Amino acid sequence: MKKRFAAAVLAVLMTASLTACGGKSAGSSDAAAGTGEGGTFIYGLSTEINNFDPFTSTTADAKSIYYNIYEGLVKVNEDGSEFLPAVASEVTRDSDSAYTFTLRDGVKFHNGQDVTMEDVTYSIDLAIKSKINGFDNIKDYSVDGNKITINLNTPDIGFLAYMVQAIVPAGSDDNGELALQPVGTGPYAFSDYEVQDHVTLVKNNDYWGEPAHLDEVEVRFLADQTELLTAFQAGSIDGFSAYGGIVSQLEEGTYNPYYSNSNAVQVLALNNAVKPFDDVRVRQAVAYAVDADEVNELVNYGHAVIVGTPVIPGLARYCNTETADDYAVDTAKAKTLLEEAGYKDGFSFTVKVPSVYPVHVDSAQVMVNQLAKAGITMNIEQVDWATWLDSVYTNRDYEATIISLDGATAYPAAYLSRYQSDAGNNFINYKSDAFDAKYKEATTATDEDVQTGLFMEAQQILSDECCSVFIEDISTVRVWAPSFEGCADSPLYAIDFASVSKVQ
Amino acid sequence: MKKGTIEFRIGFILTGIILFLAILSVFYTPYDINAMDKTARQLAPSLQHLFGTDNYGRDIFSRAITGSRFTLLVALSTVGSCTVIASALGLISGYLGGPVDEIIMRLIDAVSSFPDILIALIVVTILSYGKYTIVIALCVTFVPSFTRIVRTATLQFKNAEFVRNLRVFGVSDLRILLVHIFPNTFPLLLSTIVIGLSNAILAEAAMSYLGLGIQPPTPSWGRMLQESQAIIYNAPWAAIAPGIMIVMTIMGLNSIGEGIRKRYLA
Amino acid sequence: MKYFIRKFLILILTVFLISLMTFVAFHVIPGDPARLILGTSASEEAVEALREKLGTNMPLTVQYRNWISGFLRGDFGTSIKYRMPVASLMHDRIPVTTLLGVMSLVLILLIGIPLGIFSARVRNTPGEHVLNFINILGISFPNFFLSIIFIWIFGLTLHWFTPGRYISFDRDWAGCLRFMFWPALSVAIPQTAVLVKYVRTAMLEQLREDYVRTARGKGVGETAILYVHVFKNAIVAVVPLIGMIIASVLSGSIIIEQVYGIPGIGKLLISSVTSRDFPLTQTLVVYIAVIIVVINFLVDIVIQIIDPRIRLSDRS
Repeated sequence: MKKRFAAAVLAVLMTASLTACGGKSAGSSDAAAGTGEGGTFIYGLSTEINNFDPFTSTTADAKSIYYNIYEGLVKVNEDGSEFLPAVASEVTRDSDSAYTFTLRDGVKFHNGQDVTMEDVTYSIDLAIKSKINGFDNIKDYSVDGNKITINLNTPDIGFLAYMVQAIVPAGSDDNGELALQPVGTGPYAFSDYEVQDHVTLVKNNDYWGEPAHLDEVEVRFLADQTELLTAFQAGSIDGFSAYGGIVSQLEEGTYNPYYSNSNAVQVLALNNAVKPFDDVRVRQAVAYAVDADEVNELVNYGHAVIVGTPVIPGLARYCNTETADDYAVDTAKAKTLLEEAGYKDGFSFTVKVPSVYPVHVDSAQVMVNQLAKAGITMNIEQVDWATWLDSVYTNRDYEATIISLDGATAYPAAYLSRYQSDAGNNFINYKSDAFDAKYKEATTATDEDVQTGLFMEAQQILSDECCSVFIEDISTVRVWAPSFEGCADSPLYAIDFASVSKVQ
Repeated sequence: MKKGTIEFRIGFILTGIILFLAILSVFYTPYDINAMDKTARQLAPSLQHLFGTDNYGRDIFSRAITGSRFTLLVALSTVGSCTVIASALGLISGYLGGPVDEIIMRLIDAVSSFPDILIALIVVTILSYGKYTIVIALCVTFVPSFTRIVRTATLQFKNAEFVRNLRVFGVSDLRILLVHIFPNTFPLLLSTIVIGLSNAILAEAAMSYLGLGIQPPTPSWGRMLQESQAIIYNAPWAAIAPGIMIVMTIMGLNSIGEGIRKRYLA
Repeated sequence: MKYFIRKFLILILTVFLISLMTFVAFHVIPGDPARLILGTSASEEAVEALREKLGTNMPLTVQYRNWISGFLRGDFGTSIKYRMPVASLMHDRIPVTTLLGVMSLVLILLIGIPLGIFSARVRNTPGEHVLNFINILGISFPNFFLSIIFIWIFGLTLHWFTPGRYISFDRDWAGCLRFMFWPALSVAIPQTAVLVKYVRTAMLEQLREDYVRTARGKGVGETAILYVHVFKNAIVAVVPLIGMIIASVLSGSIIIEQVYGIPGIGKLLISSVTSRDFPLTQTLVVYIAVIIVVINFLVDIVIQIIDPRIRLSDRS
């Protein structure tokens, strides 16, 4: 129901944007006549953004903010089904492994310069040098006037997903300047930044597309979700994003909620290389014992979307929604499976949970009770984020963990590639020849519909072999003060400030 | 009335109540401390739930009294292990003097100028977050002040008449140290221990508050405070209950400490 | 003079030991700043590329040596997380924490000393018990519990201040002081209670001294005795405590800055440790240690000036 409301808002916004596009030549004076223009929006963020280099700062929160500053040659649409031209005005697929982009006329950087082909090649080179996902597949490129043709090593019909990577002015990062002086082409320009305090974005009046409504957005960095809540209740911020548990503390009617996916899947990741999780029956037993609906109810107040696959439901076209029911809660079955696997009296294990994410710690507490019913003892061990990244993610020294995994791009490969047996980021140590073969077939397919089907089958394999227990997309509620409205959906972990405006 | 009697009375009553609740929680709690119920979220205190319920519908009274057990256990083990280490260091440092004293005291200086929270973070990270790793972390931060006190007391007695006599009679240094000097530091040490207990409770609460203490879902007062912060506006009782327990315990221990000081040291 | 040289050498040794401890700690705790900056979606190759760019691919011993040699030349290095000089980061933060510390200290002294004197005056009356009770209550409130209560009552319910909205001194000094009053009070209350106890004890001890009896014999009024003679001597007993209080205020502010969202040294320290920012953590830890050691040093000198009879070499 609430999702439908968000969709309705979105539809209104899109219509608005279409009309605005129609009268593009009229300029900004025309837009000012409309309602809800201008104003400053103070957005609270529970992590701090400390550098704005889109090539070397790629945490989810950082990307969610500089989504507004930078644009790529293309950008993804709201439901992730297609890529729309952005800095490029036209994209053609010449062959399975060659794409040609035509540079859009009149796109200006925030520093006033026109975007040239030199800037585009500089940005692509920078992305290759920074080892950005997908760019390693670029064999070479050739420039012809305002067109650039990119040739790939291996065919990839999902290649466009990577071309959302920022276009920046040539030479702008020769000495790492982008980190603190970001220059892009997006609807908002970087204005000022104070460490651990705030960053201010101002409206880009020369934006090639539909301009933003607000004059200024101030992103304030607060310590955690609790502080965000307090700050919002006290009126010191106009909006923030949170999960259901936090939003439930606000009084109905004192805020405008926008429900959207968080575009990351919360998973109880099991290390397939350690006992007893090397046994598929034990993994399945855990999956049957965990009641995702109850986690959703207790922690997310029912706002989350239950899934059974690592692909986010936001990528509607690729997400295999049938897997969500594969392991509906069944404690008796869990016990039977444990008995078959030789753990008649249950077993105990430790789950390492990053303490910076209260939603994971809370979900863990709920799961402790659920697993206990099947005779499984789960001990929680909170670790700080740096330790988690190092010992769990990189060194795979753990039994189980709870984490939300996001993808670098709006393309299923970004979510599925880690499950290949030899993937460097396969931190759950999952090994399956069936999956490897299916994944390879899918990524090299040259027909889009065939490819979609193959991605679905690959996800079914993950679910059948129960590589881990996928719980839910925890969903994000964007909470705006009553004086603000609008928030566009996105399959990326992004906040589109251009879609926010003041209520008249 | 003897000196310090009032302090002792207040202290024993308060700590007595807390101890009683801690022991009670071993045998009986009104509700399962971890049982969640989404229909009973954030209920105000009532006869069913003496201290109300938290965001997950867990009974705060059950959690608070069970929390006292874990909090006190951490405080006692911290102060206990710290007393042993600090006594050894303080006695050696004070009695031997010279370069040994210098080395020990410089290390102690360094540790005590290092922010406590940082020490805890480092110790807990190195040893991985076991249920009671926090004890070791707190112990490290407490050793400096304890050692200084034992050392000062040792210095006082080192050159006392009776110690010099003992030396003349050829009593070994170790024996002098353990049998004759150490017992004399007890009164001072005792009040330090009582104050140390209350500091340990505060420190455990502060560490749990930062996520470094006792691991969930096991309740401790600091953890309960941290978890209740988000719901302070709608369910203040969730923060007040563990907060009051902390305040009562610290008050009780401080009163006893004050009593000891008045009766035996003044 | 010899005493001061010795003290100074000890200071340097202590600071060096602390930096060595930080180095060892960073050696053993897990964590990679490059991976933290890039997040989970980046490839191992991208992380390696960034390590090279940041210089964190070098062994930590080399990083430590570079930091020390820079430090001795007055260059504190560049923060890995913020990619700006550590010195400029500190430059912005030190005034914030100093303000918090000074406000707390002013509150502690302003409330603690008169209350201490007063409670010495009302000895052996019912008022003594009331004051004693309030005092023990004050000591028993953890500062973060006070903070939560203040935010709830004075922030969210009464709207006397706006939680989560730190106002910088340059932007609006009055607003800044209004906001900072609450965190300062949270730090101050437990410490004030400690000071009251010490002042009271020191005053009572002084009242037993011979010179007070002599003064009484001469018919000097009770108030004059208390405020002129006794207070001057009692302060000598209290000065060492001020050093301890400043140290507690400094460490207390770490957690308080976190709770109230104040961008000071404490918040920066937590952030630097959680992001494994080696040059920044090193410099912050050394800075805090130097402050604590120097304050204790100053306390010694002040005592020496007030009361030259105390032989400095006796103090540890």
